[in-house]
Amino acid sequence: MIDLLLALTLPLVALGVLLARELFRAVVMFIAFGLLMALVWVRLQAPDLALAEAAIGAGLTGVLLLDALGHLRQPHPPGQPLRSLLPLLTILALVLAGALGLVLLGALLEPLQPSVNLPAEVALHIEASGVAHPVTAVLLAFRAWDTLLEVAVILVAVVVGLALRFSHDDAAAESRVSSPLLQGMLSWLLPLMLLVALYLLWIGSYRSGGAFQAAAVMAAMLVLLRLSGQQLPGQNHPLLLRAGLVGGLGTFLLLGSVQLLQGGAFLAWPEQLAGAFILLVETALTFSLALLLYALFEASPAPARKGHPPRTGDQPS
Amino acid sequence: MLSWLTEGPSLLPWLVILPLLWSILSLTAGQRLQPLIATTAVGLILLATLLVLLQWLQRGDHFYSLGDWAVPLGIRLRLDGLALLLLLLTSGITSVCTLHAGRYLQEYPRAKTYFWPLLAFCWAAMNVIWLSADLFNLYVGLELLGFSAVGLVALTGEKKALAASLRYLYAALLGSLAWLLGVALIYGHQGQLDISSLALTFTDSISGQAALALMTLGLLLKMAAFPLHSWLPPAHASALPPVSALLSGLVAKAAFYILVRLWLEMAPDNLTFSAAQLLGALGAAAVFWGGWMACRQQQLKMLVAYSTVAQLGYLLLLFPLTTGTGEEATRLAWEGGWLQLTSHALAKAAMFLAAGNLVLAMGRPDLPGLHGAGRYLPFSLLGFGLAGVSLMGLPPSGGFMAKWLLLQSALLSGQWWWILVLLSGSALSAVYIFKVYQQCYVESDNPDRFRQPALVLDLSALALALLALALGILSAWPQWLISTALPGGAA
Amino acid sequence: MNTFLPYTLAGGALVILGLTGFILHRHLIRRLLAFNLTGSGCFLVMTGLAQQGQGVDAVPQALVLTGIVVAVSATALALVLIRRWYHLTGLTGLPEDIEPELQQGDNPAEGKTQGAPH
Repeated sequence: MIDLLLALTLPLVALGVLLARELFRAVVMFIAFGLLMALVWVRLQAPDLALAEAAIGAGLTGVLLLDALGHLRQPHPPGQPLRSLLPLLTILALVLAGALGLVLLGALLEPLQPSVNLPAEVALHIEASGVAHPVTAVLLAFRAWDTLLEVAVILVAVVVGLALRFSHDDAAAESRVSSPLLQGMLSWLLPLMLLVALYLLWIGSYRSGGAFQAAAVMAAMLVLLRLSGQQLPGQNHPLLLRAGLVGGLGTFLLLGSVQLLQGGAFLAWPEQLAGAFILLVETALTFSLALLLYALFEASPAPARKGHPPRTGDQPS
Repeated sequence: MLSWLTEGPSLLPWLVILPLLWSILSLTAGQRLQPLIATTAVGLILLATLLVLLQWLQRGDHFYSLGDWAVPLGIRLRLDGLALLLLLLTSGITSVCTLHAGRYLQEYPRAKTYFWPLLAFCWAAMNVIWLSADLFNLYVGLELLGFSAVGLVALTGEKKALAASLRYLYAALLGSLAWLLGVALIYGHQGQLDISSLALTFTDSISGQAALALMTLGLLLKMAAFPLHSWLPPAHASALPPVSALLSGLVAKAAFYILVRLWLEMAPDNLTFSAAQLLGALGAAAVFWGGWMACRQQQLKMLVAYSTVAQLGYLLLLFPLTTGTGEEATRLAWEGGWLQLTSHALAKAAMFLAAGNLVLAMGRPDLPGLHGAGRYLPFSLLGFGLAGVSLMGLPPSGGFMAKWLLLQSALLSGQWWWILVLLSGSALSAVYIFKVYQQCYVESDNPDRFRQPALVLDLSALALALLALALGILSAWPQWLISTALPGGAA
Repeated sequence: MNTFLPYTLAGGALVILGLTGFILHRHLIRRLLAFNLTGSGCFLVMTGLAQQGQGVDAVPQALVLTGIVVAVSATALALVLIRRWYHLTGLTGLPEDIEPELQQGDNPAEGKTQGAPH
């Protein structure tokens, strides 16, 4: 019953996101949608995804969107959220969507006949993977190749953000309000968050949790620190910061190559030490991903301040 | 040495590890060290590619299980003649682009800092895709490739480049979603993701057809097939020349490569005659529309970019010419199609580099800005012209060889309508290339504004153009390489 | 396994809604929201469908975790470009979608910067 209700609510909230008149409302509804998704993942018995969805899908994405909204003022009137000038396109899109919906419905209701039972395979090999939690085993042993590349994907997004920052915004010049009260509060909130993050990291070997969820908590911590106007440790050491950004990918590559250099396969973990290697990779990933996720937030081009029109970019000299 | 080649561990993962290491190093090292790092990295990747070639010659097609986990649980890399061809092509073209960029980017100090890591990521992503045999891994690879390519386009931060990169990103995201939905359907119904294993069990079902249709749509969008092509010309035209060369030469081919793997390898029985004809018709429309639009352009790089839309169209002729056409026609089309991809990659990369040099030399991006170029810049024009010979499909170029094979295949299979497409496509490309030439030989009244581009810029364009030209004469080896990967196996 | 079926279908519905929104909206951030909704729909189909057949399955869950991280990277990348684009032109949509004449170039942004901050 609750499943039917939840499954029905999801598209309705999505419709609300798409049809909201004001953009701000749409974003807030989107965050609500993300939290709802987290609930859905719990019902689908995927607690890892519930954690990730709440922290990354709703939390971080929401913060990113809200932050961007703060810098964008609507030059268009708030009404008419959908294209109204091109009725032909609208009809075409709706017809296409209807057709796709029918095909999809047929495909989803078709009886399933999987040729391989992958969950059984996972259960069979989890002993050899070095960790006890199946999702972690898939992410860092069976399909570690995907995870390695995924870290590279985040890094690319951050690099593009860094490349497109206006040349005159340096972090030191931005002064944000700092109140002693907020800082006092942060002084005990932050250690707590750090503990939660480390707990999530550690528990990932046995139960739901792991590098990505821990990193999201840590990134939230950094965002809080930043918003409170605090100087981040290492903020004025660009090289150190860069090293932190690439540290996760670098560690993953290096530890993944240990067996390769001894004639084994890439991303194979040494037999006795698989658990330790995975924990090492996860630890490096946690800290590095936290920085990366935070950098996704921080690296966005800041608005031009008075008297400093943004540079249009590199002009050939 | 020989025993190591036959028995030693396969070097496939290095083709991805090395570019990733390059990007890490270039993000952490200072400006001064960048040329050293880039040279070393390119050298090592070239060496690794060469060794992989030697290994393949010794031991033939093979798989590499990452982390020693066998499928269906793990992911494996797959090397065959086709993957090898694209690896070699990628290494060759990207190295030349690196050489060109090293000089060209001296004028763009800000863009330069982030160019190297993005280029390295792009290279890694391409190698991931050529080697991947796993549907979800291809998703991650496509995203990595798309994001780094978008980043490279946006690098200058100029208005035009930003609009183009946004358009590119949104097209890429839409394409990836379609692909992901297809993967979700296939995994749900089949329980596995490895392409070669799926080929054995892929059945004719609603979900299978829906997944194939969705994935095909996503890939067609990503390869800018007509009528989903409108994001490509601005993106390729507004990027820096070495980036344009890379995107048009290689990146645009990734989606086509996956499309072929999908249809001809994973689900060959599901490709019906009419579906294949439809894909071919889209290709034909791209040939006409791209060629026509190229003729109408006033900006040099936009002209070259529309020519890419047209030339990518030829690739789609591979589907109707290999579906139910008999052994010989299939073989000819298979070799012709991949030869077309190879020669276009070389020629178009050369042409974009040469076009960039011309714009740099003349100081103007439009066609009338080329007036007088013929008197002062024969070297840059030579590169452009030789690349043009291959695009037009004149002998002895690789483009000629490719179109000749496709033509024979069309004749043999009785599908005469594709012959019309091939011939009129070549005629159209002749029109727009001569249009550029004509502008270059209009006399100019103000010769002072010419600026001789550095020699290395011209040489890199010329080298690629010569390779494209020589491909027609030396096509025997690439043709053999391609033929070993013929689906349904004459290998 | 029937608890999973409603969510699979909801995933399908999300995909349809999201795609339609992605095509019909002009505002780049609204399109980004639509993209994220579609992505969530795909993730639901992936997990729901697989678990209907085989029970709780760690593999699609891990794939979706990867997908969520890729989606947030895509969102961040798009926002970086959108913000830069907005600060240069004052526009929140692509030029072709708003005013066709912008395609011709010659600096049309000058008249449109009232919306820019300060």
